[in-house]
Amino acid sequence: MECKKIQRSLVNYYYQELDSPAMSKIAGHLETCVACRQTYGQIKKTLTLVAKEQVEKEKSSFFWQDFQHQVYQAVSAEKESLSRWRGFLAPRRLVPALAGALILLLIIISSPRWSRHGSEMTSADLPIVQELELIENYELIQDLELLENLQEAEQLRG
Amino acid sequence: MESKDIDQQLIEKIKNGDQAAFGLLLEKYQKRAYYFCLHLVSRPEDAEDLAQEGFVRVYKNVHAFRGTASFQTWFYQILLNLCRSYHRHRYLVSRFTFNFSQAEGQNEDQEQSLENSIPDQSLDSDPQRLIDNEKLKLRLEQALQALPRQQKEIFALKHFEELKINEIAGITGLAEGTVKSHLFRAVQRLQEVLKEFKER
Repeated sequence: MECKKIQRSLVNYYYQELDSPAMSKIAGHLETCVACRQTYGQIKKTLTLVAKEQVEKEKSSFFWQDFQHQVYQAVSAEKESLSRWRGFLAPRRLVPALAGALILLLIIISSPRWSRHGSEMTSADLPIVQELELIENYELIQDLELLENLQEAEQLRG
Repeated sequence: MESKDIDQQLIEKIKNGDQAAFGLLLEKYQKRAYYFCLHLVSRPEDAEDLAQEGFVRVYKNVHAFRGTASFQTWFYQILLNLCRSYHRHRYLVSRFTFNFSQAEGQNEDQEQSLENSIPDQSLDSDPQRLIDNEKLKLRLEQALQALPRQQKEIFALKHFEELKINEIAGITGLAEGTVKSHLFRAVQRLQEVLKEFKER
């Protein structure tokens, strides 16, 4: 039971993330318990192998110079776009632009073409609609006649 | 003066438009930012982009930083968010383009190519041991990348960035106990890889 508890704390022991009484308790246990000492040895070995990776990925000073250069470039681009937006949204430009847009909107809404689209169908539109219905009815009659002819032909053949 | 106080002073100067202060902050944190991203995304060119973007975000949002937490905590939070969005994006892309058989083949190729990539200085050492070491490193790297997201983030913050558990809890927004248990599981998984490798 003691070993199980200790083994769960070995990772924190390795990283020295325990309070000092717990640290000394585990240190004392490791001196006497072979199994826990073995487990701790494995943890230590694994973490040492992983740590080596970072050292091997070390970069040259040119890399860091280029890195900084690119950050500065991105930051100045950011500053430029910020100042552009600030200039665009400045009251001396924004107020006339908004006023212009409002006037244009009023002109569009009050134009006769706009009001006609929203209203009911006018009397001038009615004859066209009636004509359309007539054409549709005529096409339907033609289809019915064709169907009748076909039925007659089949009866004759039969 | 503590590192935390120096950062706070630099931040105040950046807020007042001091470019040199930003340069100092960049110099202080560039390596940590790059390596942290590299551990989370594994592709060097992407890690470089993400770390650079992290600094741009610091510059852009410096006025929003109130100093309730340390700059380090805030910066790691920015980097973590960037890496998480990167993974989300890559996941979405891979849903449509990823070819499993090709990826498996790549891993095998990587291992096979190790047989032919022993450095010249190793000629006087035991070649088999060197190959084994390289293979083990590759396996551990793969195992690190294969860890669940939170385990990987916490392991990188603890093991490579050498942060304290309470600092990691502050960055990730998790309880200290949860951080410890994620760390324990991550180390356990890496140990399993080492064990499997020895048993082969």
